[in-house]
Amino acid sequence: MIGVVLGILVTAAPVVLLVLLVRRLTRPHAGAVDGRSVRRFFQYALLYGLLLVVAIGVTGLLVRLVESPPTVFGDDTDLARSLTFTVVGMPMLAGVVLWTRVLHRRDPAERDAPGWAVYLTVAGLTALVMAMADLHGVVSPAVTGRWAPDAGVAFLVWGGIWAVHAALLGRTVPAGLARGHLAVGSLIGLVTLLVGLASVLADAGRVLVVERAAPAFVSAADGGPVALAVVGALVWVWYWLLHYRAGPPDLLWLTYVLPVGVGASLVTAVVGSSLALYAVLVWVLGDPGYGAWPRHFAGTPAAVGAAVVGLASWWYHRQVLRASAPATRNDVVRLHDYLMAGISLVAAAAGLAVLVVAAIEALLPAAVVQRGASVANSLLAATTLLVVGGPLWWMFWRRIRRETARAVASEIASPVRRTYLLVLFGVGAVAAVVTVLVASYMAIRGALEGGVDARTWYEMRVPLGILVATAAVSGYHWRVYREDRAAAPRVGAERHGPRYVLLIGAPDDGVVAAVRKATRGDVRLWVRTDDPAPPWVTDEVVAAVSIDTHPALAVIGGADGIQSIPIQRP
Amino acid sequence: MTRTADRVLVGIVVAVVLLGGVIAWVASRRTPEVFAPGTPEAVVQEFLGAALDRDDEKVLAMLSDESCTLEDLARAWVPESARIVLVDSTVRESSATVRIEVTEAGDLLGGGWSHEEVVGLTRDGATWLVRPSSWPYYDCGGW
Repeated sequence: MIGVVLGILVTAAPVVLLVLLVRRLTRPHAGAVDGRSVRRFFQYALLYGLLLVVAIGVTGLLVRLVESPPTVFGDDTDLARSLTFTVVGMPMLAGVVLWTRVLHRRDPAERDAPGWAVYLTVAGLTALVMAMADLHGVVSPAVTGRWAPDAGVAFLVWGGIWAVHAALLGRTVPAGLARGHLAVGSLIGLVTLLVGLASVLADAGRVLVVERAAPAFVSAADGGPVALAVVGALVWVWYWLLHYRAGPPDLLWLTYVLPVGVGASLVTAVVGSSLALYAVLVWVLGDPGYGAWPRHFAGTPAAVGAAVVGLASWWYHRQVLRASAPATRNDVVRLHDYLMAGISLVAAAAGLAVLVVAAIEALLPAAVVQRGASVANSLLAATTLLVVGGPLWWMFWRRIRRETARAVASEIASPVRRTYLLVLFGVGAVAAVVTVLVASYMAIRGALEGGVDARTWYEMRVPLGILVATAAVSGYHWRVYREDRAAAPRVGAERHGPRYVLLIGAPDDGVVAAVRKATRGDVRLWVRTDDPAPPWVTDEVVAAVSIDTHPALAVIGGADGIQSIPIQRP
Repeated sequence: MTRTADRVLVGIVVAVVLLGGVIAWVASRRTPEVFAPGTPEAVVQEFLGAALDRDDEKVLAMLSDESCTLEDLARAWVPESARIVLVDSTVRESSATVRIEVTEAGDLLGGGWSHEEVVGLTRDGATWLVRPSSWPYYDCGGW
C-alpha cells in the first residue's frame, strides 16, 4: 500500500507543479514573471525528490538496526539502495536545502511565491500519509499485545519530516496559501477516521450478533480497524479541530464542509441504511436465497456501521455549517439545501427505476427456477430506496418550497437554484440518450435474432426503468423551471437601483447576473488581487444595491463584509 | 409553489404507489411453470432447484455418471441467488438438451449477469438423468 501511495504521489507531484507553473506563465501580465518561476519549479522538484530518496534510505537503514530477529542473510539489493539513498542523497539534499535557505534570506519574495507553498504542501502531505501508514503499523499489532519496532522507526522518520514541513508552512507561508494543506489534511483525517469507525462498528456487529450464531472456524482478527480510527482521529483533531475549523469560511473551507462533510456523509448514510434495510426486508418478506441468517446478514454489520458513521458525520458538519452561516438565507445555505435534495432525489429516482424493473419482471413469464432473485426482491429494493430517499428529498424540497414562497425574488434569482435545475436536466438528457440507445440496440438485436420476446424485454428492463425515472424527475423539475421563468419578469420589474454598478472582490458570475437582474443596469466585476476576497453573499449585495439611489455605485467585498461607495463615471 | 408542478408530483407519487401495489399482487400470485412429470424440462427444473438449494445428495441421484462424488459437488461453485428461464429444449430418442438462461442477480439496483447454458440429459429406461458436464458442475468427476 505504501508503495502505491508513494508511486501516485511521486507521479502526481511534478504534474501538479508543472500545471501550476504553466498557469502562472500563461496568466495575463505574465511578462512580469521571469526565469525565476522555471528555476523554482526545478529547485522544489529536486528538493522534493531528494527528500523522498533520503527518507526512504534512512528508514531502510534504521529498520535494519531495530528489526527482530535481525537480518542474517543479507538482502544486498535493499541494503545497497538504502546506503546509496542515504550516503549519496543526504549531501545532495543538504546542498539543495542550503541553496534554498540562501535564496530565501536574500529575497523575502521567495517565501511568498506559490512554488514554496506548493512544495511544503505536497511534501507535508506525502510525509503525513507515510507517517499515518507507519503509525497504523504500530498501533494495529499493539492492540493485540505485539510490538512492531520497524514501523515505529519509520513513523519517527516520516513523522519528523511532516512536523518540520507543517511548522514551515505555519511560519513562512502566507495564511491564504497554507490553507490548502489544512484542507487536504482534514479530508485525509476525516476519511480515515470514518472508515476506521465504520470498520470497528462492523467488526463489533459481526462478533456480537452474527458470529454468536455461526462462530468463525478460523479467525485472524487484528487491531486494524481500531488502529485506523486512532490514526484518523489524531490527524483529524490536529488538522480540523485545532487548525482549520476556526478558519474563515472561504470557498475552499465551504468546499470541504459542504460537498465532503455534509454531502459525502449523507451519501454514505443513505447507501448504508438502504443496504441494511434491504437485507432485513428480503429476509422477512422476500426470497433470501440459499443459506441461514448468519450468511444472509454477513454484510449487514458493515452497512449498519457505514450508516451510523455517515449519519453522525452528516449531523456534525451540518452543525458546523449552521454555526458559521449568517442568519439570513444566502447561497451557502441554499447550496446545502439543494445538495441534500439532489442526493436524496438520486436515491428516490433509483427506487422508481427499480420499481419499473420489477413491473417488467412481473409482466414476464415466471422463471422455471429462482432463488433469491424474485420479483418480490426487486419490489423490496424499490421500496427500500423510495422509503430512504423519498422522505429525505421531501424534507429538503419542502424547505426550499417554503423559502421560495416566502422570498420568491431572491430564491429564483439564485444561481444555486438555476444550477440545480439545469444539472438535473443535463443529467436527465444524458441518461435518456444513453438508455434509449441501449434499449433500442437490445430491441433491434432481439428482432434480428427472431423477434422481441420475453428475454429481450428482460434485458431491456433496466434501461427502461432508468428512462422512466429520468422522465419523471425531469418532468416535475421542468414544470418548476417554467414557473420560475414565468415569475422572473415580475420580480425584475419590481427592482430598481443604480444604472452602473462596479463590484470589486472575488470572481463570481452569479452575483453579477443577480445584480444585473435586480438593477437592469450595467454591472462590472473587478477581481481584487491584494488578498483572497471572501465569496460574495448575493442577497446582501442585491439588497444593498437595490435600495441605493445613486446613479453609479462601487461595491467592495472584503473580509469585513461589503462596502458601498457612490462613484462618478469619467 | 406552483399548482402544475404539484399536480405532476402528486401524479408521480400516486403512480408509484399503484404500481407497487399491482406488482405486489402479481408477485404473490405467480408460480413457476409446471412441466409434465418425467419430461426433460421437469427433470432439469428439479435438478437446478436442488443444485441452488445445495441438496447435493438429490443432485447426485439425478446424475448419469457415477464417477461424480459428493465431494466434487461440494467443491463446485453454485450461485447463491439466480433466476433461470427456459430457452428451448430438444428431445431425441435416448438424449435431450435443455437450453436455459441464468441470471445471477440479487443486488439492490436490480442488476445481474446473464449467461446461456445447456443441460444435457440421457435416457435411462423410463427416466431422464442429467449429464454431469452440465452447468453448474461442468466436468464433475472428470478432473
